[in-house]
Amino acid sequence: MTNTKEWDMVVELLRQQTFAVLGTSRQGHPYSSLVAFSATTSGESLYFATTRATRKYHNLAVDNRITLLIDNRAEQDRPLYEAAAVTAYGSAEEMHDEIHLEALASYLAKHPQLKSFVTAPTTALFRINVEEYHLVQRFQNVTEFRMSR
Amino acid sequence: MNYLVPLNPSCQASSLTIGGKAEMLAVLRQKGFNVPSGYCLPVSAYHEFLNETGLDTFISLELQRKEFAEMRWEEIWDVSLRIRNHFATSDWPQGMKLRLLEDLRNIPANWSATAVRSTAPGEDSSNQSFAGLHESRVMLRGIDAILEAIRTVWASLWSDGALLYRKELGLDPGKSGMAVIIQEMVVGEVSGILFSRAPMDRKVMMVEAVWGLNQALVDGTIEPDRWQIDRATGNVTEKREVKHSHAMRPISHGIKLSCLTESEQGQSPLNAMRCRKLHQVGIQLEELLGQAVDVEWTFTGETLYILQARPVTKTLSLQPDDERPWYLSLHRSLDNLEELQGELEQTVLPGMDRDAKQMAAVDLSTLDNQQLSEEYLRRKKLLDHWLQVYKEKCIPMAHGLRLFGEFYNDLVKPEDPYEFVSLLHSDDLLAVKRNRELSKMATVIRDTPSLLKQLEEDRVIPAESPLRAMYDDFEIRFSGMNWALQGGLDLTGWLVKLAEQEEEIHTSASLNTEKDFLENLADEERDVACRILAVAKASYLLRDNDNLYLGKVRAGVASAEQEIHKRLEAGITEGLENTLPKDSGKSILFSRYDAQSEQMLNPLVQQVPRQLVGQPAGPGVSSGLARVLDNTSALADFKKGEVLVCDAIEPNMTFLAPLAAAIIERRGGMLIHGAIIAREYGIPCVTGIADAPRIIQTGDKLSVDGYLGIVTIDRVSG
Repeated sequence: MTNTKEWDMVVELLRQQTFAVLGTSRQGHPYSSLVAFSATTSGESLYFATTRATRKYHNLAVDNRITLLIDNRAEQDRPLYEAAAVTAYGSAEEMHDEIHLEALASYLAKHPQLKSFVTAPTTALFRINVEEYHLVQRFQNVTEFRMSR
Repeated sequence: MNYLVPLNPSCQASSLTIGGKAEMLAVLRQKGFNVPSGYCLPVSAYHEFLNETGLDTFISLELQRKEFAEMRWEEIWDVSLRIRNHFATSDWPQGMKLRLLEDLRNIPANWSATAVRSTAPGEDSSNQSFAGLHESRVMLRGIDAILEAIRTVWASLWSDGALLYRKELGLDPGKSGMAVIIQEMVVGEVSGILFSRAPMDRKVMMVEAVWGLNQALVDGTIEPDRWQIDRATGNVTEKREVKHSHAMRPISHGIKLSCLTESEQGQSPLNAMRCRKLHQVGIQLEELLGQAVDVEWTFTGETLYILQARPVTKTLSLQPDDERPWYLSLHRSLDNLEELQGELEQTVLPGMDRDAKQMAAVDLSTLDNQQLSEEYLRRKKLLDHWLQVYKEKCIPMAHGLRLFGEFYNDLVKPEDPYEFVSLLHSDDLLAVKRNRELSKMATVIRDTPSLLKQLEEDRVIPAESPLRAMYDDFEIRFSGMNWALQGGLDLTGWLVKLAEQEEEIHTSASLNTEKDFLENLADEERDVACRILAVAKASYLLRDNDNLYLGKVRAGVASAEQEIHKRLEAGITEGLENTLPKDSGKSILFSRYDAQSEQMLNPLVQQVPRQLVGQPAGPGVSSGLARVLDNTSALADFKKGEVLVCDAIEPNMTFLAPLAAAIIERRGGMLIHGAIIAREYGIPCVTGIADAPRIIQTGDKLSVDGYLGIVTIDRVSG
């Protein structure tokens, strides 16, 4: 199957980038935090982990709607016109039991160095069920992707 | 010196820092050749300027607006114009300016004037094929003029010609740079170019010469005398002399094309003694460089100066279908454009009009099949002829707009690089005139409900109605337009449709800044400004009108085609079977966009365009529902207040423009028909959105930002 070049860009960002900015909400006020993430190959699900004492964990307990911004700005060598960012919209769900294993495998494949962190009893692993991606590239060209479930 | 490298015998700088041209001048001085003294502003200064002003980012973004391969020449010119204007309007970084001024004050006081020339690093000798891509400024007086010229020469690294040959030149926004030669101006009485081996015959030496400075020779304004010299003996073997009438001569600031004196007119700028000196220098330079050379030279009295010399190692070989040389040939001088204007106004357009009228006068239904077939082929041949003339004469005339654009931007340095277009506005555009007449007739219908009702019923205009005379007059004045092909409605049908819309909001924009512009000029500049402005105005008008005239000829072919189709469908085929070409099903009036097949996407993902970036072609902001014109019937469905989305606004579609909320075109450029019409009516316009007719769907809610060239799509369900 051939993909469009825009979707290829989304997939590339999901695969190559290690960190992303998670947006949660606290009493109606936006709250941003940096997280290490991983993604399924289809782009349907994203994973991240946090300890249960964090602000974001509490925010998610009240309102699980999130955004996740992934971009290539860390690659300083890239010229500005190649700057690209994708924002994922969806809801976060804490992983338990057998699906936890699948999530864990995806997360550790990308972040093996975080094994002790993600397997600690105080850490929660979340799956983001992505509803939409919004890709911005080449300075103002915007494409939306709607995920069917 | 903070920046400047003196180009003297002790100069050690390499071509990587000062460019090949400057390095060569330093070498020639070391070897004792007579070269005007000068300095080089190395490429590091260019990079410092770009870094500090942020121009490097601007250039990168400009070049990435769209895939380069997808850009048309008009879009490339636009990119170049915007970059050029950005150089001109970017202030000098304070520290840099102070250091550079300190250097420039060291220029010897005995220089009567200064020349500023380009010298690009890494430029190899094959670039001689690209001569004229970069700019030079001559006869500059005062430090401010030099500073100004430096920015112009830097900007010319990104000239449209250079962008066209971007790959061959290795032009890269991250790596390329430009050094500048600042040189004592030598005002020669005779100048020219020496080819130590003639381009067409490598066995002989060739000299081209003109009276005055050689700028007019280089840009093709003046045709030179051409003499061939025997390489071995130095004897002149062949003389080709042209009529001598003009020379480029210095004026107080700059240069001007002037008439020759009577005695100059009667004689060649070359003579045996000058040829001997040139031959001698040519041979010496070949020995020094070990290969054939091209030399720019000038004589003051009998003293020969070398202005530039370059070795010739290889020439660029182009594919026969490479259109870039043709594109470069579109750069015309003012004199050339004035001549072209006369030809277009007096011969070309009247010729198209005559043929179109003659076609319209023939009642095709009275011809037998044989006659119809012959008539069709005759019309087709006429159309092909006019299409060729259009390419050779009409398109080059568009350069008048560019010439004025650059002239205006250099003088005024406006924030908006297209500000100059407001001075070209004209009520004489045929499309505007035609729309005004249509609008008048629609108003008569709208104001007379009984007439509207009657026309809706039987489409027949009563003889006693005031509309009758207007209608007949319109048909005569704008004959040839095949209304039947415009979405299945005839002219009366369109009038009813226009009358059913509310009164139009868009009126032709009126701006009168010409007086302000001209009043602020020095007398000498005003002279040239008036001439360039006159050419640009004609170019603006013709750019639009020639399309309409050509449209009429097209309509003549289309109506014959239609008549043939009609007979073929009715089974009256004898003698007509092979008349039409295979692809004649395509509308000749409507350039249809062949959409590429949809790309497959992961079935779980639905892709929806949200925001598209093109080129800003008509300022303003507007929103409305999209009407994608992908076939002729979509024209009839178009409603007032919708956003026209199309491959390109065809001349015969422009009557819809005043009703549109905004215009979006796949074809790019500021000088295309749709953009000109949009500007005339003050309608926001974005051009050059690749695949626009495919990506946007009729009914999409669109916001169109004509300032930034952005279209936002609000599609609730994909």
